[in-house]
Amino acid sequence: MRKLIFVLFACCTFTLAHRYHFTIAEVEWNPESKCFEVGLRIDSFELENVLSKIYRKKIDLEKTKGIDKIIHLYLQKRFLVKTPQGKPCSITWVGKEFLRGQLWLYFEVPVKGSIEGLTLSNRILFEAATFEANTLHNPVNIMNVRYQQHKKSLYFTKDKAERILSFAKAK
Amino acid sequence: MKKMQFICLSTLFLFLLSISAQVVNDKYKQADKFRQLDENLRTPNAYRTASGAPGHKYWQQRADYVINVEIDDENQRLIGSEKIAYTNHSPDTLNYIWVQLDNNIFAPNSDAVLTQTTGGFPEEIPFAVLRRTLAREKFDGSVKITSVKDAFDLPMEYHIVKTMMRIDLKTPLKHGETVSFSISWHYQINDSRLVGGRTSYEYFKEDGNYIYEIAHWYPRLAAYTDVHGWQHKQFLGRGEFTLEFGDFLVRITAPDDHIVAATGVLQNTQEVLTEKQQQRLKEAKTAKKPMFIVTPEEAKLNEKKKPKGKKTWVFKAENVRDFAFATSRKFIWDAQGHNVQGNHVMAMSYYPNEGEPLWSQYSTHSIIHTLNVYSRYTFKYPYPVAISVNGPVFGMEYPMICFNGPRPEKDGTYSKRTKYALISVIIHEVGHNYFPMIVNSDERRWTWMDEGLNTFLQYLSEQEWEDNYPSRRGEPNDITSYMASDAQVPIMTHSDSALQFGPNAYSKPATALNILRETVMGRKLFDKAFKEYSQRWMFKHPTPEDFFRTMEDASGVDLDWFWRGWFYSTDHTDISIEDVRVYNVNTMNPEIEKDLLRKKRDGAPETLSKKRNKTLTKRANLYPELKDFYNSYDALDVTSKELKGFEKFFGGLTEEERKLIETKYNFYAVKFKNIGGLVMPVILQINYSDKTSEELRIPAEIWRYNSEVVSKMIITEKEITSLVLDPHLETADTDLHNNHYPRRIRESRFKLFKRDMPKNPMQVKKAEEEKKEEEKKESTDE
Repeated sequence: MRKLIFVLFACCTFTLAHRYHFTIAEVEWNPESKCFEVGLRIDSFELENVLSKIYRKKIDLEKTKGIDKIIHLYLQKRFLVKTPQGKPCSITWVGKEFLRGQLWLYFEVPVKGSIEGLTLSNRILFEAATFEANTLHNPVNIMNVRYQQHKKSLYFTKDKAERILSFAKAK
Repeated sequence: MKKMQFICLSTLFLFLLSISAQVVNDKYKQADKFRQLDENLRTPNAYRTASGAPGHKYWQQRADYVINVEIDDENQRLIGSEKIAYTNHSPDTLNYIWVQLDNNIFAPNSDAVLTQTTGGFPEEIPFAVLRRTLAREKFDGSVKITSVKDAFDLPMEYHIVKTMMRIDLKTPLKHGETVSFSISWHYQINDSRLVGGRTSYEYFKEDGNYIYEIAHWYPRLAAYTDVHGWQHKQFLGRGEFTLEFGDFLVRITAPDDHIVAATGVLQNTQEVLTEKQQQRLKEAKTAKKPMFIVTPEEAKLNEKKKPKGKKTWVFKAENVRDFAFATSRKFIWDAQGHNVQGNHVMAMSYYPNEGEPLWSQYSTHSIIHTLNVYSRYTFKYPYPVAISVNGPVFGMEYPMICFNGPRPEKDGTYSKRTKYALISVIIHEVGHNYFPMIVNSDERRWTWMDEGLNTFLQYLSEQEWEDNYPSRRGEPNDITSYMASDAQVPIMTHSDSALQFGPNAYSKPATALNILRETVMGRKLFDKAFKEYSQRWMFKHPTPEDFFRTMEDASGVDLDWFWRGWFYSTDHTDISIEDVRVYNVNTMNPEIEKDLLRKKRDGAPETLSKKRNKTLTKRANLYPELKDFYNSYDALDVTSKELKGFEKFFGGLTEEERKLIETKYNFYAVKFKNIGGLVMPVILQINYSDKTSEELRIPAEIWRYNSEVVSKMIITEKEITSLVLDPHLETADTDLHNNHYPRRIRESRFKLFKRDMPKNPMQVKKAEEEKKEEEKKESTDE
């Protein structure tokens, strides 16, 4: 299968970071608002690094104008929740918070219909792994999902970037 | 019926899965969490004792080097030749010798490249990513060996196996003998913009200059040990290295306007430094704060220069396991002499103007701080220099020298994050001098042995830098999300297979040690044992069992359950208060007991029907003759027979028994459930109705018979109003809502954030107006 990829031309050089491409998300279903409420922890420097490459200029999480929108857009492309019919759910931005060098991103994913059978994928920071040669840290993104009394921990790697959410078996 | 079978099968399946990590008894069906580790650990012998110390026959090899190396600044090439003297202290006779060629990882067909997996590209990718992906496939930075010769300058047979090279010896090397041989090589240095890593050059477009940070650059003699024989496992990019100790004499040739920083002590100061620089260096030895040897202004001027020729810097380093260096004409250089427990150390930093003003303010201070704190917890820093260099590598350690990346913005401003990232990375990388540069554990096999121990000491050092230092790793509650997740392998997983490198090799072991120190062993016992391990194994090759055994040996605390849980399994802490029951002593006194029963009866809630039926006219009220004995009889009235009976009973009691029966004690049976599987101490805060509280600290051994559910009796004259499990967040409990009696509502981080979300002033004003509007509406409604 041939797939077209769009190359974003970025020219900025950047100090590479010896980091581990690791994010962790606490995802909880809110039955009242019919939303997944997400708190996602990410290394602030890694996110800056990736965004700077995409936007071909230095993106500063504290200074760049419209930074929330930039992150929101990035999340919409890398953090995907799709219905069984393949329809992507949009992401509602809530806010961000710095905590000891780590960045927490907060957003909601409203879902129409059942959450059973949703396809989740989380490719945040997957592009970062190609920045290094002899360190080889494969990106891993974790989602700890809470739905009613059930807990489910999912992880996303380059080899396993999509998961189907199901709590039917958990009961 | 069919469904039943399915359930049975699935439980069996889960059960089988769980025994792979734990030893489960067939009949009792519980994992033996306190099983001693003997069957997992190597049998002690004369080389390594059961107490975790080096044995009376402990030996290790030695490799001494004389190296000449040149940096070709025109073509970014490295050309080297070395003479190695290898001494065999092992009882074995060696027919061949292995050396590491780690730079062969930069071959386009290296295992690191070939085994890299992909998830495909996302729909759009930055150009830089595509360029790097292509460069990695094409760039050849592998080592070109030009000769391998023996002591008589005759060629030797050698065979390159990817990142390793075997040199066949003409005569077998017996115990106690030394063999000398020389190797010549060259290679292309990698450009950090295209092919990054632990060594690279950085090109500065604005002034056309380079910074070189050079590591794993010479054929390095592989370790040969009593436990693993030759450590010649291929370099795949993650498991770093272990090597043998030895002395180095290294001559580094570079353009004559370069400043060179390296492992060891500069031998030819007069040849390579100006008189002014020599004078400053001399003054810096006794300076009270860092002094410039090359000032920012001088470095700026150097950037514009062209070299007139070459200069050779000579360095000598004793008893080191590796050698690294950095060179550039862009370097500012500052230094301060410092006394570490009687050892005079030159703490020095090298950085370009791009690192200013952060570097001159923080780098050398961070080095000295690290030496002070680490030496206190381990051993006196034994080397004469400690260096931090700013360049393209974010953070990488070598003996006496390390490379650190953080820099301010181009305009000289910097965020709080960058400041602390710099201090933290310097503490971490300088700290690596202790683990694994001196306590020479094998990082190719066990990353946690140096990264985990070092991250733990980094945390202690950061907390001694200033109050509330924003440490990223160390606090138990920072690791709970990871601990609760499924994407885990045990800490005792090989470096190249560890799934989540950061949490697995850094955060989890560092946090485990912090918990061991604060909660399980206590600071005094832990610090003594940790120091003992450091001193036993300094300048030697320890293994995980040497660490596990020493920590127990010196403290007298059985920690097998802790190593089993934290290092060999992926269990996490989640202990829940399941149930609380209250018991009181039955006084047998009918006046007291019946009164209690009556109170209970009267206090019972009235059903809805009873309540509504109250107003009905009752027949028995209309016709009192319908009432008899049973209408006025109350079973809870005390009869004289009962009273007499009690008096008789009481009279028959001894004085002691009477006292016991009259006690006012409440007996609370608290049931704990171990949901996460990890056995941990139970730390319980007990709050009483009189507003006082006390803390009960129960060792993990409470779980030794039943690791799933246990009950504990709390005996008190007071009334308990609430219980809090792990009140100081010291056990990394992943679910705090079940740590409370009575239970609390769970609040996710998301909910907390949304509730306390910082609002901008306009939003605040708008909210106020809306509130006023609502109040107005309400008042008009009335």
